[in-house]
Amino acid sequence: MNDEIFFVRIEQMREKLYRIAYPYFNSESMAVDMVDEAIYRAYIKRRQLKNEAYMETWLIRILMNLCMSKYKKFKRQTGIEELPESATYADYENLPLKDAINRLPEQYRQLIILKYFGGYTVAEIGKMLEIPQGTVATRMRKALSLLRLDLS
Amino acid sequence: MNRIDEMNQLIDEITTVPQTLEMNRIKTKTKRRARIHYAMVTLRGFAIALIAFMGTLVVGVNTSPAFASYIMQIPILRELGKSVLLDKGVEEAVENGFGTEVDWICKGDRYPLYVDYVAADDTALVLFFHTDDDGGKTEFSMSADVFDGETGESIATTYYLPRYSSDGKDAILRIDWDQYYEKVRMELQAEYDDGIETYTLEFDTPEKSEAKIYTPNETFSAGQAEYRISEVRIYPLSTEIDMEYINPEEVETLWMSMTIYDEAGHQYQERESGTIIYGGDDNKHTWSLDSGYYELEGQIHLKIDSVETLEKAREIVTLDLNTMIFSDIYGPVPELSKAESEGKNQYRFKILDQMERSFNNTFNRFLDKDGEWKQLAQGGTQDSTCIILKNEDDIYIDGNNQITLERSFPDQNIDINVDILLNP
Repeated sequence: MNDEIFFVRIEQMREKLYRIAYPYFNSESMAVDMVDEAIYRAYIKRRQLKNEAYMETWLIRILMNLCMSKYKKFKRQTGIEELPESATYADYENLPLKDAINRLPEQYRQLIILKYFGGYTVAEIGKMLEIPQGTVATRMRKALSLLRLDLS
Repeated sequence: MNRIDEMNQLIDEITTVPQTLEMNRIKTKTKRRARIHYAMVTLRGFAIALIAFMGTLVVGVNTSPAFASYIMQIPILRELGKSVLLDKGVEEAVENGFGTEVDWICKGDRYPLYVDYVAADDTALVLFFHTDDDGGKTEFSMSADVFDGETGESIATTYYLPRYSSDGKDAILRIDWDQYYEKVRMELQAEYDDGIETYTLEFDTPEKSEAKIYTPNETFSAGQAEYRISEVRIYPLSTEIDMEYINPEEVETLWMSMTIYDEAGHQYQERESGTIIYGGDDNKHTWSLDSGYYELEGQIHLKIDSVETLEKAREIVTLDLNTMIFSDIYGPVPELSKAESEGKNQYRFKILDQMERSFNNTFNRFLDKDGEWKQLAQGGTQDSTCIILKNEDDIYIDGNNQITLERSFPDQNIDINVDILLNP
């Protein structure tokens, strides 16, 4: 992939990248750092991408991995503790939604972020995270019920 | 209770992409980091080959001027020269007193890291470090998160070269930043072949090396365009050149090739890495060159070698879908061959030989039905370029079956050789 195409695709995606990184930290500067880093890593490895059609999936995966890794440190620094798998909606209902999302177990949090902030469908999220669509749907239902997000 | 409204509100909070994610900045920063990355990786590979090669080369160069001239034409050697310059850019900065010797030890769980020197200016922070060669790990990759030591705010996340192999030489970690910070906290993560080690480093940044500032206030012209160089700031680790475009109405400046040199023979020509770093005002731009020019001695000159311009009236180009000929206000565009269709809304053509170099970027955008400019994608080989117009239903095709494109390559490359003495 040549530079021109790479940066044209980045221009098309940068808003989405930012929207996905932001909820992890609720900080503009940290989200920008994550997006910068993901673009840089993708750029130096762009020749390894065999099929340009997968650029978006590939870049989002790089970004998500960076955000997750960074978020682990961020949690330690800020004292955020994820609620356990066994937590129920009652544990989440008194938290502002922003905090509730941050305290979801990672497997639920990434689905909520990709769906609502990235705008991806269940099928797209399945491909992105390399998990079956059925699993995405099940986890999504669980995450939505914990957060009391009723789509109907 | 349904919290969907609260969710919508959260989503709405992130409506605008921050200024810092502006495309020019992303491009500049990404390419700059990549160049340093490639230079470092390239250097190591070349170093081994060079040792073997130099024996032959030195004999040849010393005994035959023709041979010396010939080897300068070999692309791989020019590339090596460029890589060495980038590396020299920081190492000599330290040797010339722009860095501070520190002797810090970062104790990891297993393998300590030794920081030997730190250099800082308003544009970058550089750490020179090594591992314990004797019994320690000599190969690793590294990433670093950098924070303002006073506020805890994130300054930068830097990815270091994927593989550093200690050969008695320090590894270099460079962090580009937008201002000097007095206190810094770094979280380093080194990936060894048997696992990851993390280190935390907190320090008072050594006194920053100030830029040498020159205000030549010189004007020069290239064809119809006129320019003024108002200020040149030479930092140890980079150089910034403030330039005003005095009459930008008729001509657009696409590129400049510049050289900085001194009377001792140090010379830096950085055509490919010179970048325009910002220019909110169309008439003022700051050009940034990667290497610092700390070792320049005596009288320093800035030379503008050539300027690539495009007459603004020629920015609009049409492609006639019947004849496949590109035209502008003067008729067929002489630099472009006839196009060939390669599937729907995909056209391949050549930049003809009269151009001095090939251009990856031939057109920026195409016009859609609503009169809006839309980005197009481009690909191609050394011989030809292919443009791809996406959103096919939106493309504006006029009554003569023509599509409208925005040109992004110059119509003139003007050699000017303007020489400005910075420190008379």
